[in-house]
Amino acid sequence: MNLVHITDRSDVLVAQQVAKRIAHSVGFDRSACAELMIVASELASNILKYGQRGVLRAEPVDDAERGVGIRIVAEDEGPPFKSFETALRDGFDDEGPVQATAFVTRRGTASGLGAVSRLSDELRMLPLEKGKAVVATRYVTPAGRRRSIRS
Amino acid sequence: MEPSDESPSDSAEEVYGRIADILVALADVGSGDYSVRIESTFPESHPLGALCAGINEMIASLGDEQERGEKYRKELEEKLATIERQREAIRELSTPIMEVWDKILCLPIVGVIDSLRSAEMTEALLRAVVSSGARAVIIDITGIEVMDTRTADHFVRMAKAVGLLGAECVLTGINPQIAQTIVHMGIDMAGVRTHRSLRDALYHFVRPKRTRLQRLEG
Repeated sequence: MNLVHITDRSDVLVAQQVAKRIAHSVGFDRSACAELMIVASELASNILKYGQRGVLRAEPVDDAERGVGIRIVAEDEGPPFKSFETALRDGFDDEGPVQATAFVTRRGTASGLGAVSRLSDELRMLPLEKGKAVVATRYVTPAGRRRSIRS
Repeated sequence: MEPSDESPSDSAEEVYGRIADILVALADVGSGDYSVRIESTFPESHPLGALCAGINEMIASLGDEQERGEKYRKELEEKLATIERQREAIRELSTPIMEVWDKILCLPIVGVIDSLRSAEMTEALLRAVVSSGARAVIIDITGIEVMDTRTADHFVRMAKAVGLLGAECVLTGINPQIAQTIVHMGIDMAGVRTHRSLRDALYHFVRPKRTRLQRLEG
């Protein structure tokens, strides 16, 4: 039950709940759980918007150095990002800046992946045989991370 | 030996006849008719009689199974329809905009705010302000625990856009964490009024009206 097929807006809410459940079980505090729900939400919305078909998975991790945490994986069949680095920037997609007038038509503010990277410790993209996987990891014990909105 | 009516002969003709009956019955079953039964003149002790009885039993249980399958299929279809309706409800509920007072809109936000939702909210709210001719909008974020910095920024911009349309926009229910976000980000809050709670904001808009009324009456 840690895997959600993303085919509809309501699946995004299910993905949030899955992330919350795993995050809570791993030992994240209340607001960290809420932040991880944002991460799951952004990744799931992206699948809906660009990835055609995909799944979102959340699982506990236990790193020898960093300790316990959560890994949220979004796999979809859409093409890999042309430039993942560019897509991470707020107001940018993988090809460059997005005009504010396009926010409505592209259903978003082009800051989803930026939020994901701010609210997680590691963020990677892996090309798959068909499509790609975006992997966000966050550990319970923050190590020098405070890029999130908490001061 | 003289064959009696009760025990038909084993003549090849008789056997072929029964086999033909069986084939006809199976063909009926194949086309979806589970009500057919083979009438055998052979006793059950006879191999052909036993075969006919066995086949009848099989047809009966197949029919039952089919009926059950059909029932499950219907139930499943009903459930899928329910899910579809619920999905629609979720989509609608994701941006509820209501007129809580004359020309005062309220946008209560609960759950998780991501970039998709905040973009949709902006669009829906700006449309609602224009179509309803609202004089004020209250955006209540009591139900929001955390927000990404960029989303917080987007929210403040949404409030300003409402202002450009000629309506006053107030933000209510900002929790300490989100307040910190806004301050740390250096987001320009000029022109965006905030109130502690939805109740305070409503009071702010409603009270002057009441005094005016009282003045008229007095």
